[in-house]
Amino acid sequence: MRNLNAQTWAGVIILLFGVLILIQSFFYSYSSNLGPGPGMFPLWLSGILILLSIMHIVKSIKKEGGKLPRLLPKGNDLRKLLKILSALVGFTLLIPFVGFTIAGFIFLFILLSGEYKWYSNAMISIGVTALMFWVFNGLLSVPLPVNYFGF
Amino acid sequence: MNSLIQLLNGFETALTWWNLLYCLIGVSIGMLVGVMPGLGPTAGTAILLPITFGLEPVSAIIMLSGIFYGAMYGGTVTSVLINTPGEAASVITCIDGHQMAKQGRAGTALGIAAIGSFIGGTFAIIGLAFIGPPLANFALKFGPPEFFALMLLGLMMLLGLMGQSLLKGLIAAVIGLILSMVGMDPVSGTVRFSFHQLELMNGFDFVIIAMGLFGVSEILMGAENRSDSEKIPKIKGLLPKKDEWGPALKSIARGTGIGFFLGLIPGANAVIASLVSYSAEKKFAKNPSRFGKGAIEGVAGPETANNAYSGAALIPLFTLGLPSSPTVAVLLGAFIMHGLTPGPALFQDNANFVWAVIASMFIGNLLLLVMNLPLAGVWAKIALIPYKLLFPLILILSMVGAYSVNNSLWDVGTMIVFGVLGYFLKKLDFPLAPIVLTFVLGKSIESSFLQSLTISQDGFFIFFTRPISSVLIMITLLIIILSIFSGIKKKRSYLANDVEI
Repeated sequence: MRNLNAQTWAGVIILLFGVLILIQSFFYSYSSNLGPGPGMFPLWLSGILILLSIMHIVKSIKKEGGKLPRLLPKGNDLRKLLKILSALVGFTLLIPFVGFTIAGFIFLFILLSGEYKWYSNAMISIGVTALMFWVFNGLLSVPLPVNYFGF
Repeated sequence: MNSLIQLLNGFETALTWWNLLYCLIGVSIGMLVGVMPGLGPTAGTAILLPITFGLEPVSAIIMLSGIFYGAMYGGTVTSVLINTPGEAASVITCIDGHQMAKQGRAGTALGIAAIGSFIGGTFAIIGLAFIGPPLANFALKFGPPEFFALMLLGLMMLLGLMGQSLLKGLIAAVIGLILSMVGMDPVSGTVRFSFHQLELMNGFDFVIIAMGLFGVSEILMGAENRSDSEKIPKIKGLLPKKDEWGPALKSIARGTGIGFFLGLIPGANAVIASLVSYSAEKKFAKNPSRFGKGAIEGVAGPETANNAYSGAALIPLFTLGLPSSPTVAVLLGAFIMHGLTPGPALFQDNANFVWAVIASMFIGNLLLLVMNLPLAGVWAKIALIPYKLLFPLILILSMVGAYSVNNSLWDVGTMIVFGVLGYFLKKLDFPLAPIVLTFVLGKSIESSFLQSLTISQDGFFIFFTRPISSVLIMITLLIIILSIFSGIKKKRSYLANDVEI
């Protein structure tokens, strides 16, 4: 089934999402004493979404042979993309344990590595993290997550 | 006359030193966002929205709208100097603007663009000040059926005017509506689609979705095909030649009209405004062959149009609560976050606030004129900040911003998920604008629909029996039929482009 293209897959995923919402919306009442209830809108919308996604799937299969959008880049670009994504996820997972300053430093250091020499990279990362910590914690009084030592 | 007095009162608020400062910060950030390719006004406004939490509502909106119209000025600089549009509305300026720069007339191109932008922007704000109040008054008569019909119309206009396929636009719109239903239902208070997750009970925050879909996804897209910019040409002589003033001012006048008119239409956007203006200039010109070779009208018209558009686009927002583009939707999100509801009642209930914001826009446009005429070269240098340094900074700022919305890491995670989602949707040519527009309007669409049915004696027919709503519904249907059957498809590919960045 290699010739099922990316558009078709997107359609299938949207279809499944629509079905999930449809099933879920049966749990909410369609009408209430006052008139229409909380279940009405989701039911109709998910129905429409299912219909639209089926139309999309049909259209995408018919168009076969046309240019498929390449979903992911190749080689170096893919590596860059994965680096950004893992840095984002890593930052989010790390921050509760090590606090903003350390997680932020690691985040920036990873993304800037390979672009700058390690010492200028370290200085930029430390500088930016410290500045942001000061601006948010100090100026804007948004308490950023801190570690055991309070930074 | 009443408007004039209130406007003067507005100036009183806008001219306090701190509001002036926020206005200055706003337009400067707008310029920055406009100048930097890879960060558009939508993402810029969304990322900075959380920072305004601590501010007074007036100051916050003054600053955020400064970003919105400031970005329209900024995009020009890079289009002219390095042939890279900083934001989508300035794409068309590259054609003649960069040619002018090559002929050593970069200063003139930037000068006329700044003058045109100032004139267009100022006229649009005057329009807002004088059309706004009567329109709001008229809209006060609207009941739920009218509002529902109006939102439906706005949405269909957006889908009809968009570059991509109608089907994909509709899918995106429905997904946005479904996302808006997560959490508490506006009418009965039932919690929906929370899947027993505590965090989902309150629904998604608009800022988080906007930052993910527009900010993070844009950065992920930037991982590929990014080239570093070329050298900037010298800027000298900001004013056009004597015999160029006439045609340039005429195109500025036309651009103002086109931009203003398109700003009033929900669903049109700044890109369409500049495109329409460019083709109008080409039609009006005595010698159209000059276009593409550095015609001054090709810079003056479109640049004026996109600024007139951005001022006029605030009219439907202020008077009807209807956002016409993703950036305006972010502004709407900002209003709601600061406890204000844009719509007909805004001019009555929060008169001071509205007029202060309007007054600040006059000031902001003046500030931008000063920033652009003598200082254009400085901004051009900023465009040369390497992207490899810029994007980690934008990302970490977005994450801290997302965190600060509710002080929760859940929001940061959600933003990343929507970033990835937005990345794939862009790759698959699904438009993102309908998702955020229906998301931000979702609760009002649903409640106005349900309220209409509740007060209705004969079910769905209420939308057709009330005069205003029936006219709106008819126009909506007409647009749907037109976009399906006529040759609009061909024209649409001309309007194409993902305009939302």
